[in-house]
Amino acid sequence: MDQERSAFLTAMIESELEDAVGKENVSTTTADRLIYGYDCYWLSNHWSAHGKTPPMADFVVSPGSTEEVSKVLQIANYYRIPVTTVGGTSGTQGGALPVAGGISLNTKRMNHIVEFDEMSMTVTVETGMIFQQLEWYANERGYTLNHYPSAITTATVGGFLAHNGIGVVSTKYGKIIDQCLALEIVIPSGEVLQTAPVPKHSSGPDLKGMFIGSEGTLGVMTKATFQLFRIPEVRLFRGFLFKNLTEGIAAGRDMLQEFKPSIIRLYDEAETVSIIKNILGVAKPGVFMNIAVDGKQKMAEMEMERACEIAAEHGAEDLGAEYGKKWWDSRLTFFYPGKFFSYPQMYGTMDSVAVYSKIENIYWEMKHAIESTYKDVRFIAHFSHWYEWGCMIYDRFIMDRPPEDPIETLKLHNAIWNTGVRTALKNGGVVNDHHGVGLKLGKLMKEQYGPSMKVFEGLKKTLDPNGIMNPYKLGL
Amino acid sequence: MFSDNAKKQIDACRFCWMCRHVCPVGLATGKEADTPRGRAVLCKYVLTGMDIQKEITGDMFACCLCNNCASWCETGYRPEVFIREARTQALVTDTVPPAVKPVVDRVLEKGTIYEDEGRPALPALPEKAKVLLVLGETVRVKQPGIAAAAVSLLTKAGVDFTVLKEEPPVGAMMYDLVGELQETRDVAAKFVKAAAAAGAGTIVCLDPTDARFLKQDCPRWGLNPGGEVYTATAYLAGLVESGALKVKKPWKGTATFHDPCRLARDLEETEPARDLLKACGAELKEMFLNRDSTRCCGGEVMSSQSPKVTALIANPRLDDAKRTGAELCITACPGCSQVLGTHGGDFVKNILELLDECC
Ligand SMILES: Cc1cc2nc3c(=O)[nH]c(=O)nc-3n(C[C@H](O)[C@H](O)[C@H](O)COP(=O)(O)OP(=O)(O)OC[C@H]3O[C@@H](n4cnc5c(N)ncnc54)[C@H](O)[C@@H]3O)c2cc1C
Ligand code: SF4
Ligand code: SF4
Repeated sequence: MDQERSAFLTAMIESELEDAVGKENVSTTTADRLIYGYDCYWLSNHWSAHGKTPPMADFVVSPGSTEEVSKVLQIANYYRIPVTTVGGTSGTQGGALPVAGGISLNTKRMNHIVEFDEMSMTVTVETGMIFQQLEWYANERGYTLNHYPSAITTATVGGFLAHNGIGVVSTKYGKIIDQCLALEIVIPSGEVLQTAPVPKHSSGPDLKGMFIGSEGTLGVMTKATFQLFRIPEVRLFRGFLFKNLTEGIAAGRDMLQEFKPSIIRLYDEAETVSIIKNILGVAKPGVFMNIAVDGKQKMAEMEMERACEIAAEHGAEDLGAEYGKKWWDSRLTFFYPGKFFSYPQMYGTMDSVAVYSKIENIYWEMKHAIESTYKDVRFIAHFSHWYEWGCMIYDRFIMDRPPEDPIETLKLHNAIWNTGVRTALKNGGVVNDHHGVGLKLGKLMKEQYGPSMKVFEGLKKTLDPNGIMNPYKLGL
Repeated sequence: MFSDNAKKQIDACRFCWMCRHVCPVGLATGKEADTPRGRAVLCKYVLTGMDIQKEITGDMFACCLCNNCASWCETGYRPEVFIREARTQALVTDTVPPAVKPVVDRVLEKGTIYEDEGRPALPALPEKAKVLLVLGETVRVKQPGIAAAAVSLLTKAGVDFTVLKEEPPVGAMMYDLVGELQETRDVAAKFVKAAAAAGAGTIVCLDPTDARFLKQDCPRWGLNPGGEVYTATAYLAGLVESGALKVKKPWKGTATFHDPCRLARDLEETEPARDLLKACGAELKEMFLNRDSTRCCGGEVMSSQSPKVTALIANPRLDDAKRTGAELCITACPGCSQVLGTHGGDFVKNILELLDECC
């Protein structure tokens, strides 16, 4: 009886959704629902690879405009149906998994440029556009967004905003929150919010900042305005070999006090081995740093001269430009199947960020905690995305042969993550730097924020009183 | 079920997100199922026994086999392998979507996606000659002007050539639509036999899809048309370079060149058409996505069963072309001429037609 009643209501809701976005943009087929059941979260891949049914929404709904998003959210809010916004499904934290069922709200039909304002050097775009498409649009007109994450070909504009993502030239050009000037957001009531038209002002707190990084838990971001940059005249590379991480980190910090390289990547000893063999043809101990400076030739050359001097002051060997150029050209190659770690290898990237006085210690503490607690798990890292005050550590654990039993592996995977992130937190790091929190790390948010979590919870209650937006994510 | 080769591709693509940014269908519809990864995920679920065969066939036919995904793939995977096999399976399991069914039925009956046979009026040609000109189904039925231009050009160049009187379907379109069925091989074998009987040492294809099929697919089935296969663009560029074909009335306009997928990616041929354009006196204005990064127009096979999606794919490509400011969008594939011409009108022209006007 109950089932019949619910089938009736489901059919009613389906017809309302069809009315909102068009029949062809609502799907209840098993195939369409399955396809949104795993993203790039290792555990969701693992679950699916074991032939287990992934978490599935009841409806896949693909609105084509802000107005349609608004209608969908009003329906969902009225019937109290969970809504999980999904873009490119390339998130690594399980953020787009519809674990509570309901609606998978696919943004990828919203993929148009809204305004290209060359005078102000800004572009406004719908958030379902794949970021590479946006970058190409700008490139064709002589501009760039200077946001080059490794997921540029896979992820949507909204996905990067939702996780507050970062690209490889962030040291000079910032994280996506620095590059985004304004946002449009639809909240569960169906109301459309606009942040201030410009990012810097004293008209109250930063409204835009409350949504960037909110991972679809407060509403759906529908439009975003970004800063445009002129394509740099040159990008110069240089490789250095330092004796140890302490010297390498100090050199990076000193460079940041004088100018902003667009790229600084400092690899730990384990990662350095293969790079150095590649460059010199022989093994040599130390830690490798690859840097790039870009812009007008004259200025870039001056910056590079200073970079070389600072590296020399810290005892580095100058390894020339060739590796950096090659790395830039093939920077995405690593992420293709067979070139990257791949299933059934178990791996995870536990990026954290901290001030200079703490960052190296975080590396050693995490490495020790993970390698000494878990047999056959190795830990490697590099430091990229540098600021005047500190930098990001991109550390990765890898286990080549995880246990066969899927539940045992799930538990082991979570235990390794807990160990790594708790060690980072204990030593002055954060839950995550740029991949976000999602389902994977939600439980650790309270451990980072303590009572400050109340601010996020209050925001959630106000904007999403029925708790429909992306349940069980971000610890909310 | 799927071959081992197809399974290998499925297993790689289902956990990979790297090439969705170039999939024209995924970009046009915004559906995850229309991305290379999405299609692989669905095929994998079919392989693991999920009862979704009927639901996924629409997504398998909604691929223009443009190979842009494969061209971006740093590891060398090719989703077309499992997509073609998924189409074959749709036939075997009787799950071809209703919109596609009439075209599939036609292809099975006639070996071509078109209702008509298409016999463009051509001047009398010898039974046997050194060069066999292969018109292909799209030229015969939809673009007879390209056949007339080709015949005119070869005549002006003094080439000893002929065209099969009753040219049978080549089989390339059938291979795209239903994959490697015995029926596909039979159609190809019939064509190859007829071509070989013409005794030509050189075979010139007006449709790059046919050239690819004869060069890359038929040999796998032991089928050999008996001569060296050339694309019309490469062959004509050779005639211009050797001086056999002379440009007498140069066209001094501006043109952009839309690289056909089959030509640029599958046959890795991008320059002969540009050389021809330059020989015509045209000023070339390149689109941002050119050569092997070209964006598919949708293609005739897709258009035959899904005109709405094809329009969503073709129009942005025409916009790319218009943004160059060129007077004409030139292409070198009858399918592209047909699809882009349908949406772009006189702005679109085939390279052979322009060349013929200039020679
Ligand atoms: C190979 C690879 C390399 C990567 N490299 C980087 C990198 O260099 N830098 C980096 O920052 N990240 C990187 N990532 C992580 C990932 O791509 C990002 O986290 C990205 O933000 C996900 O975007 P998506 O469109 O795929 O989002 P999804 O995975 O579909 O969704 C991710 C989250 O965003 C939410 N969301 C999506 N769109 C919206 C919207 N419009 N409004 C509100 N919420 C929304 C979803 O609800 C979900 O919580 C990488 C991932 C992969 C697979
Ligand atoms: S073709 Fe290559 S890049 Fe595309 S999904 Fe498959 S493995 Fe990934
Ligand atoms: S062949 Fe073209 S249409 Fe088909 S999946 Fe690859 S990129 Fe998409």
